[in-house]
Amino acid sequence: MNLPEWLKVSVPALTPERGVKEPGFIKKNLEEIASLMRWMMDTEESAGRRGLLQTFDPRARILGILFLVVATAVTGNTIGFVSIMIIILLLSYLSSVGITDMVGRVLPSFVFTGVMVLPALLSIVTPGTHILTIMIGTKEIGITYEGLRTAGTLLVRVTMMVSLVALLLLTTRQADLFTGLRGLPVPAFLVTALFMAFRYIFILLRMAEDVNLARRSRTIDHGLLRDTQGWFASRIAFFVERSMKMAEDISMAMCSRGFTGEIKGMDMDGMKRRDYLWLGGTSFVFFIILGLY
Amino acid sequence: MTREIYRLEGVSYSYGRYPALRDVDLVVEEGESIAILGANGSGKSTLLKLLDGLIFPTEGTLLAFGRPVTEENLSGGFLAEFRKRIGFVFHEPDVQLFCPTVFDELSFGPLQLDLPVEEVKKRVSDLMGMLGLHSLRDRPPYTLSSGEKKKVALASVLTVNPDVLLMDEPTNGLDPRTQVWLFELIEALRGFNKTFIIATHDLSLVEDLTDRVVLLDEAHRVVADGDTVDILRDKDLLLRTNIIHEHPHRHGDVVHIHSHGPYAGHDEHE
Amino acid sequence: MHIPDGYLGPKTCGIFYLSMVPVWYLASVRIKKTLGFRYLPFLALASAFTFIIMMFNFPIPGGATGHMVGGTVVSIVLGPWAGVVAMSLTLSLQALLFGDGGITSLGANSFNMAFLMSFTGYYTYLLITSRSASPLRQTIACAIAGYLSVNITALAVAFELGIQPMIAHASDGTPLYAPYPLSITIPAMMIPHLLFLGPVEAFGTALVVSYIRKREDLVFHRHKEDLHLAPLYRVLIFLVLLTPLGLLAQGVPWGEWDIEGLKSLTGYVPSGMERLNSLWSGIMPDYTIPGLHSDTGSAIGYVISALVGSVTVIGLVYLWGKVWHQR
Repeated sequence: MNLPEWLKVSVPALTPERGVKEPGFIKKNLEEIASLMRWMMDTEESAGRRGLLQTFDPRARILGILFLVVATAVTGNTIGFVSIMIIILLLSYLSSVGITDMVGRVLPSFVFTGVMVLPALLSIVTPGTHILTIMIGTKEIGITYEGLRTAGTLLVRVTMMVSLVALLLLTTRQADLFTGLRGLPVPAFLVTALFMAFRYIFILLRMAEDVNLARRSRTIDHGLLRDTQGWFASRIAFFVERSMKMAEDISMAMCSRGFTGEIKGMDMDGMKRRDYLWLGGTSFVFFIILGLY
Repeated sequence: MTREIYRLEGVSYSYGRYPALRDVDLVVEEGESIAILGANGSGKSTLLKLLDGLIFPTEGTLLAFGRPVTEENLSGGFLAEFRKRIGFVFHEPDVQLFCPTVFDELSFGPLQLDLPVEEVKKRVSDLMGMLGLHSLRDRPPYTLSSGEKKKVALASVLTVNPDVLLMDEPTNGLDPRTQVWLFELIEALRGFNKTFIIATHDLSLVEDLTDRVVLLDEAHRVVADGDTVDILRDKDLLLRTNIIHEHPHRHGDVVHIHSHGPYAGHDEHE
Repeated sequence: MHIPDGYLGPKTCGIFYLSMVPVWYLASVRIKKTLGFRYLPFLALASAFTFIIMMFNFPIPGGATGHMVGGTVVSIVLGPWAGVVAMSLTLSLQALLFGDGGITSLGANSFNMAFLMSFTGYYTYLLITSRSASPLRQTIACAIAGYLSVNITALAVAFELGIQPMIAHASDGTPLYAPYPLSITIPAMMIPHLLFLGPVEAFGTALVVSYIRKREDLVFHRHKEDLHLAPLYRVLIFLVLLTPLGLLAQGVPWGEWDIEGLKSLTGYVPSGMERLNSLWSGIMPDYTIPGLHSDTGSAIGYVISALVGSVTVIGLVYLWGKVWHQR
């Protein structure tokens, strides 16, 4: 084989750094993908632990948490919030859900909502009784009691609802979540499609990571905006092609094993007494809260 | 008298403008073990998909168990029978495994084919025992190693107990131990009159496990169909169809060129 | 664009779930018919595709980043009904497995990003391309469809959030859910979408669809040569019907329909709404038993009724399990 001359020469030493920088958005994309992968691993790890919630049938676990989520959505007073809060803390403790795991999942929503509601504290948005007044020039702006209440309610509610969902995720293995959904009155083909989508996200993500890394390894200078957009465009096209090809293959694999349009599944084992007790308890909380509303 | 499984007469298939198979004639009888040999892109996978009724010939006729396989024909009772008798192990386990757990994966096929639940459970449990998959029962298939994935993919086809097994590159990406295991399994199944049609370019597999070779060339035609030993000995044919190649090789200080075919030893020094 | 849990009042959430049920049902029937037995992997893939599209941050002028939603792409390529299901799957996955978006707001999110986006995108595209297959026109149609649909979706989100303080508040008027009125939510949502995210969606949609166009064999949804407007009218009628229903349901506390507030909001009240109003309060019993601040008697009565409720739940689940087993 005749190699061209230039290919035979290797660079003698590292050239001094010249402010080599990669476009920020690639870095951001890579970080996001990596963190999502890590996130899923952590969740599986936590779900494998022993604890109260983990012992319930997945169907009952999902349904019970849903009761609590809806209760939180409906409640409008302190008693309701405090009692659900106590339930959340108790459940996390009994299901050996770590504080850091929980905080890690709740914090982003908490911060986002916290920042988002800040302006609502002010009298210009929520008029009412001033509890603190600031003078800006000649204009008087205050933090109102009503504003505090509005912002507080939203923040507490959002945080609690996110905590409940996090509690479900941290105590349920992904496979159980899908098994549980199949046991609930959700059409089987939707659950299958949901699961398949979930699977392909990871296959495609790995592809995305490779693509981003490949780009990173070839980036020398700050790419022009037009260049990066062109690159992005070609990547999307690549994804389209790969995903379509994959879908075609998978549909063949399913047909080959007898799939004709309706998924036939196996009956699940019946729920146990503890599952019914759990459902009774959570629905009781729900009805009490609904009444208080 | 042996039963005829497949009869292909002048079968062609093309993806839009691109031909993938041209004018294939082929008869497969029960209990045969056939290798479909050909370079990448010669149409091996397309042939398997045709044989599994996943795509249909654009020209020519394909009979399975004496009945024509067409899009209209392959439905209802015939479809169920067809799927029960023919299993297809795909090249890519990631494509084939789409259920949440290993157990679901193994029970998917028989459940779709309306086998009784008790029977399904028994089959799944037996196969998991045979393949040592019990500890993986509730694991999601995508978290398994590639060897384990291959086992699950194979098991998910075997639970249906097909008479005919179509395999696309079964040894691709397998570590040596799993490869030995696969060879033993195929050999054992062959003892029970199962028919194997294996698309591959792994010549050791062809040599060990098949008694007939169907050779496709890069023009998507069948160029040879005959006894495995005869075809593997025909070095020129294998070179021409890009199955084997010649490359430089180093023994101590001597560099020489020889081809890598199963029956090509070191007597071919140049 | 995702509305998280806790931002919308329970009634708003409920009505969006209720209005999405027939849409989901219709969509699942339609896609089985148009995509055949191959529908499942394609839907799953389309859904995974939009999921990842939403993760891909795209640089926009000024150094910020944004992402496209992708709903219009799916609806143009696979048809609007497939778009509805694929996007709903994406949103469900985000809510259920990734804690992104919300479970109670899933109905509303699906309405916005799955239903509204797919249909506005698809029909905009169809109207502009009508009978013309010229690539330029196709590309322009895709871009406009993407731009328009994402902005309409953003407007719907702004509207849903903005009416919360009016309709979902404590007895003294303090908002209990999203706190900002329409005068704040509309500009907050619309300015970034009109200026930046809209163009991102337009660009992305045009690009992806034009790529798929080149691969003729990959396009599964065959657009009819002649433009049939009948389905469009049907959808429009459906939307018109849905709007008052949606307004009506935006989370007014049990039995406190604020017709006056809505009147000032929309300028008119569809006549059918008055009737629906009374029908609705007829179906829903007045559950508002005085709380703990009343005497112990009613408190006990109310605990008992909650107990009855939970026993009924257990009974139903048990029965349902039995029936399920016998099938």
